[in-house]
Amino acid sequence: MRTKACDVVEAYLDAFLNSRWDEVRPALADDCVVVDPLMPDPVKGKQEVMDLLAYCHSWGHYHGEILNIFGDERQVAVQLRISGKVIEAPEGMPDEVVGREFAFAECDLFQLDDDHRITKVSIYADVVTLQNQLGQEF
Amino acid sequence: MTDPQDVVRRNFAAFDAKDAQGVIDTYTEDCILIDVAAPEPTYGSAFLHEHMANLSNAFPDMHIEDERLLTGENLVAAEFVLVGTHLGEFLGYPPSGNVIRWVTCSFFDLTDDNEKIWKETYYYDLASVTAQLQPRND
Repeated sequence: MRTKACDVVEAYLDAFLNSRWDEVRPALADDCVVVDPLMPDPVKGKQEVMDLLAYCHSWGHYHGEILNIFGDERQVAVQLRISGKVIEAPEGMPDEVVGREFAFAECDLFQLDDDHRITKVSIYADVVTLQNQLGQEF
Repeated sequence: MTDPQDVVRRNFAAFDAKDAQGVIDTYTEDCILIDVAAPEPTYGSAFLHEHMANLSNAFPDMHIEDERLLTGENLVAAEFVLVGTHLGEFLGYPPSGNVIRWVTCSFFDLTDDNEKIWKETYYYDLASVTAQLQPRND
């Protein structure tokens, strides 16, 4: 089902993918949590999440294609196809990864509060697929 | 029209009951199975039989925990954890005796009447699974 929460999430994803941080920040609840397979532990708190998102964009240019988006007023599921290119070596990787292209399947599950702010994002993707494309381990 | 979640709940109930045929019966015979960590999709009941046998051999007590379902149009997103004791070879790893938690999100595409699954796309991080299959030193 298409809901207002879906619109909020779609706008958030578009802002994130295009580094429009002034639109990303207000979409997040102060106590939001992001569970990302690239991170050993969940990232908690708006500023910490903003730092994580900014870090992602410090090493890669991204394009995201939404394949499906649906949900209710508090939960939204999104299937995505992410592609992009490394613009700077991520922490711990050699410079030779710069310029490498990547593409992988991802799904994100969002939870929102009564004010339609995002309280939790659970990201599901295979890190090994990305590592193989970069030729390096995170 | 059948509730889209019904067929997914039947699938999970059959899985927990170790009823492989019951699981297979929730899919169309020519279903498509997309594992985001695998290079190619797999197809049909024959693969499902093999997949269920492999899981049952490797994790005889495997069951589903913490499931959360979200409904779209002829589509269900399911976040769940497969929990089982690693007692048989899996992905080339000999039995470790470890209890593994395989955190997954599947998108089930359903037939028009919502009676069967014609495509399942499952998202997870392979590295987090294989890390749990390693022998422990403690």
